[in-house]
Amino acid sequence: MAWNGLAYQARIGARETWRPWLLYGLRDTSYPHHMDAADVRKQLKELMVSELNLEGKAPSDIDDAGPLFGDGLGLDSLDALQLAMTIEESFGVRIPDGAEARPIFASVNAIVEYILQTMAG
Amino acid sequence: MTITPRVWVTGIGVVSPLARGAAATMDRILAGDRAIGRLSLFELPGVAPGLAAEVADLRAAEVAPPGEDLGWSRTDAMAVHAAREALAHAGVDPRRSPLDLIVGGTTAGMFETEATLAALSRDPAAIAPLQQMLSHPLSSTADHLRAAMGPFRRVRTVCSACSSGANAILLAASWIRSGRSRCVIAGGADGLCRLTYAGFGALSALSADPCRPFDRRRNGLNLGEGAAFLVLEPEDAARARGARPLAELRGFAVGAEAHHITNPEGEGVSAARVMSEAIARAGLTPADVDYVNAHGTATSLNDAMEAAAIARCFGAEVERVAVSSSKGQIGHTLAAAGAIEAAIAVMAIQRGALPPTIGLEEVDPGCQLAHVTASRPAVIRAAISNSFGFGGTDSVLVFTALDAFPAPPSVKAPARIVVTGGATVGPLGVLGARGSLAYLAPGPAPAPGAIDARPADHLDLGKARRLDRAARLTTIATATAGAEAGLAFGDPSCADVGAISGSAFGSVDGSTAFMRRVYDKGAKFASPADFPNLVPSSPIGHASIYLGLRGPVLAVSELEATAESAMVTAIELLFAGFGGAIFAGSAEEWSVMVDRCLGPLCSEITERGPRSEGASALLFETGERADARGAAALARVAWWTSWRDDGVGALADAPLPIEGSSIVVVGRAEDRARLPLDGSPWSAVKRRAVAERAGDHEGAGGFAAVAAVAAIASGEATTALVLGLARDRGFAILLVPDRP
Repeated sequence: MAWNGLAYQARIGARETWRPWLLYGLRDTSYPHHMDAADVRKQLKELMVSELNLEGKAPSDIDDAGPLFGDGLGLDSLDALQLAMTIEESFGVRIPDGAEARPIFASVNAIVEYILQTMAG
Repeated sequence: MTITPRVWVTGIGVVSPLARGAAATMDRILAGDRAIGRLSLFELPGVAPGLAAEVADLRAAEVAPPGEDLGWSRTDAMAVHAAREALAHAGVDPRRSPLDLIVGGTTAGMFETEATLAALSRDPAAIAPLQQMLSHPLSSTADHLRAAMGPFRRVRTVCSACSSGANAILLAASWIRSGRSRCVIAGGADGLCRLTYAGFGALSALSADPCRPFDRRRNGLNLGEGAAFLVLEPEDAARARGARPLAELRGFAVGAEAHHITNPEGEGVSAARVMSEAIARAGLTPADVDYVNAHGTATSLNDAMEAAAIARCFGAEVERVAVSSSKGQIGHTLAAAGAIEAAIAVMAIQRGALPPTIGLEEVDPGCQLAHVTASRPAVIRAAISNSFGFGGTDSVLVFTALDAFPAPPSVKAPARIVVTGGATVGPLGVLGARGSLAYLAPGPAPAPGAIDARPADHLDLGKARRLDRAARLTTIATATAGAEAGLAFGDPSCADVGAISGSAFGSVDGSTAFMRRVYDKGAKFASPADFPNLVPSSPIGHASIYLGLRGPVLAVSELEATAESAMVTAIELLFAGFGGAIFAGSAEEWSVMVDRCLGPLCSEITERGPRSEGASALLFETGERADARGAAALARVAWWTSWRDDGVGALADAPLPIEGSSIVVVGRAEDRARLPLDGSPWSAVKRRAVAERAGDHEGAGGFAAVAAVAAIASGEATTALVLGLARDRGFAILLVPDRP
């Protein structure tokens, strides 16, 4: 059981029998440096669904080019913070604070591009 | 009944990062001093120490009885110092005259217990009732104030995040205005801890520099710590004992934004509504107000919202009324903020001096107000203190100079309070009040452990995605009770509907997981989305957002009598004219830490049935409001009381039971029920406990109250006495059929 699953349950209580004592575990902290765009996109979408508790949505429901905030996927500033933390934890890529984050968070494609650029960096 | 109109402030005590002592703190506030420096109390894994406003050289051992300091917290120490000062200032002694106590808090002994929580999570087998966990429950601060200074006749612990201290003072005013209290000491206390520091850091809310409220360059807050208490008395009682009044607490209002768990409403509509309500309740207009002590956290969102709210509330007067925030000097002291800043507002009136906003140099064009950037003399006839909390509970207090204004309008108390809906979420499923009669019927004991509440059957999970398990249980119970009452959630008619709930120990597993992550991965990987859910008022805040409740929304905590405390508090607020209807109950989650450590440590129950969990809610409503919307009452509140001792004699003035058709309903069958019942005619009445069916958990008393309503509604009983008991405290509510 990865940390992700625990964080997910701690936050939303999706599983009614959550037991931190039994399920606790840590994700491998070595970052995957040999990922291509498809891998990053797949993992990012999975993380968005689990970490942002996108109830009723599957990773494949998230539009690659569509807006994430406001009228798009409906995310808000608290989601942006959670997503930035999750991206740093999972990909080792830090999303800058404030206004600089705005273009990066424009869409899934923009985030994937930023992650790949920074990893190649 | 006409409500006693005037509430006097007769004593103040403050422990702040600037000084120990109210007068010394105010001297430094007016001098423009800042207490913001490098955080030294603890280190956070993986991050360089940032800034904080600490109370220096403070230890729990200063106030704890010899040998007991392991179970006391720094929060306790600040609270005891501030409360002692306030009582001495007022010249009141709890050992000589009846005194009531209300404490606002969020973290209590989190600083002392967060490391233990994280450590125990590595080895569940080691979980045991450890003395150092005694300061973990939110109610422990009030317990320790009682131990250090008591006795107190009536005690309550409230939380609404950063407006907790203000709401403690507001509840005190409601007790005085409805004639239930002759003297109350009320305030807030909150110590710095890793959990809040890492949490606000995760939210990107901490400034790396001393903060700048309302400044164009503001980039976040500095966390602080402290405590403040006010002694409040009705004018006649204060006069009778020759007390020297400091100011009048003349207006107060509380309302929820029902907007977002961390972000304030952009336009400040709710904050403006609550400010206007408080000013109107004081019998004043914006033209009478000379000073606003703003919440002014120096976060981008708060200050813009608050400036908009002040402009909206004050209209043309906004160019005149002086505004300042104390947070550039003492930081954001969270649950203490509303109380410390109330004390500053009172002292500003007394001293005839406007406190400054330190750190404000370039006013944000979006925050154009009559800012005070250096203290100056001024005649202040009326001052208001704003407090806004996570979850969206806005609270406003209005203090006035004595005799500056004629008596405020009297408020008519509701003639009766009825119960129009109820619900339990427990081992028998999700049931309305009527269905909850099943908990009084014989049947099998529940399977031990967590219940299956099937949230997908009761909630729109897309809308509820931020709700943790406690919030979901709370929201399902509240929604179900509201549906039984025929309430149209989201309708403008719900603007006066509030909700009070809580739990014995708060989000224990959530706090443990959060801290474990901070220790294992570093503070920069603290989860921003999880942090707001660790505040004790988060579940009821989430419920208010989900359901659109805009009345008084707050949490209470009284160990295993939390639900009964919420219900009594709802009744008291309604009788004092706050809101038209208030949900009240509790939500308790199954947890190994509660089961093996906190439960046995804080409860005196040794024999337990199968452990379970669950949530309850009752909707209390003024009779007038229920009649106006044609709602049928399930029961009427005939009498209620609360006590903070062994309970002997607590039922002395209870109406008599009716032979053969009265019942006493309790959560768990406990020997300690004997003490309040002994010597009362109620001791001969049949006693029913719900824990056999509901399971043994800290919220069983809430189930008992809902089942008691069901017994009245179904005609099974003509009077039902709900008894809620925990260590050294109790609550009683007498329910009867409603026959207007």
